[in-house]
Amino acid sequence: METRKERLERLRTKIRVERQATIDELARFFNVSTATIRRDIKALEVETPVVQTVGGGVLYQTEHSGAVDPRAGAHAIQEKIRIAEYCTELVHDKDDILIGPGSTTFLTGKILSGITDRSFRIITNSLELAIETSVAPNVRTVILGGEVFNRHSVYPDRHLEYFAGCHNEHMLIMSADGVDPDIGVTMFESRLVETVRRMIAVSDRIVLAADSSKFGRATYNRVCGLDAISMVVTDHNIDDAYISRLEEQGCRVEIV
Amino acid sequence: MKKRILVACGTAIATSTVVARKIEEEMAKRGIQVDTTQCKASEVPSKVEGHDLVVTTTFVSGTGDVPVIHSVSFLTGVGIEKDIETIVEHLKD
Repeated sequence: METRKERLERLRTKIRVERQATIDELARFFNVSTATIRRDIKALEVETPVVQTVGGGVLYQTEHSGAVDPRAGAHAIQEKIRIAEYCTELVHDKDDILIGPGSTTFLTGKILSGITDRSFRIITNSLELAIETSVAPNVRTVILGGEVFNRHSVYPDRHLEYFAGCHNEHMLIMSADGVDPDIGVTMFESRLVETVRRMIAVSDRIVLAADSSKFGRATYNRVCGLDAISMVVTDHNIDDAYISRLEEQGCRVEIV
Repeated sequence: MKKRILVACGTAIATSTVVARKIEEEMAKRGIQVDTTQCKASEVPSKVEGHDLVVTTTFVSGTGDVPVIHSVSFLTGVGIEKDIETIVEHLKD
């Protein structure tokens, strides 16, 4: 049986040699779960130039790491873009939009910065997204405070002043690592669960943007039940059985 | 002469706005003057005429002789440099 240390060493070498991979491919290659690979990558990120990218891709980062085929660096990217585009159309003028953590929500936020016929406010914990949205003249950007990790996001676990003083009529665009009709919505990153729960608590329209690969999966942290979700936006590869289970629980399902 | 780039996206015109903005920024940094026009993927065949290049985040057809670059890097942030290089290469001709 291979120890974790041995696997990390092989993983580091594989990523260095191949320059890019996806979480799914690596999980299959090492015959471990995607959660394990994500954890391994996080460990490698601390000491080597390996980074997780938007969309479940893994890169060996160098000065020239821009030279990466985006198709390999992003799982189901076309689906995610379609889902994100649909979500942006749900936004009304003068909305306060909470953007939860995740690659599809990141894309949604980014595309929102291209909307010119409506003005709104975006509230996010992503530094990267805040920089993108702040250039749009019709978007006001609020960044949730807290400790910065991976140079691009904030764990707003201790600095939740925003939530303490805000109203309860936000639109929330959230993502998930797992959506299961019995277990509910789950997330991998435990440090962000409380943030997402706070986002849910102050929102009256909750849109779950999740590509079909997330369905029937569950990870460590349960964020909420499906009854909390107003609408699920996903792609056409979703199993019909999930659609009916979601609709039974009062979720509107949009397939894009 | 200013080069003309048609930027096409799937359903929301907002995506092409983001991509066009990025392209303009990056080309300006390199001293290349471009004019961008935005449209939805379905409008490409009717709008492509007179453009030097099509950049799209989705799949398009009916572009005739105009070269097409399929790129999601301006949205995901991964691989922007390479896509910019490709765009610059095409505009040189």
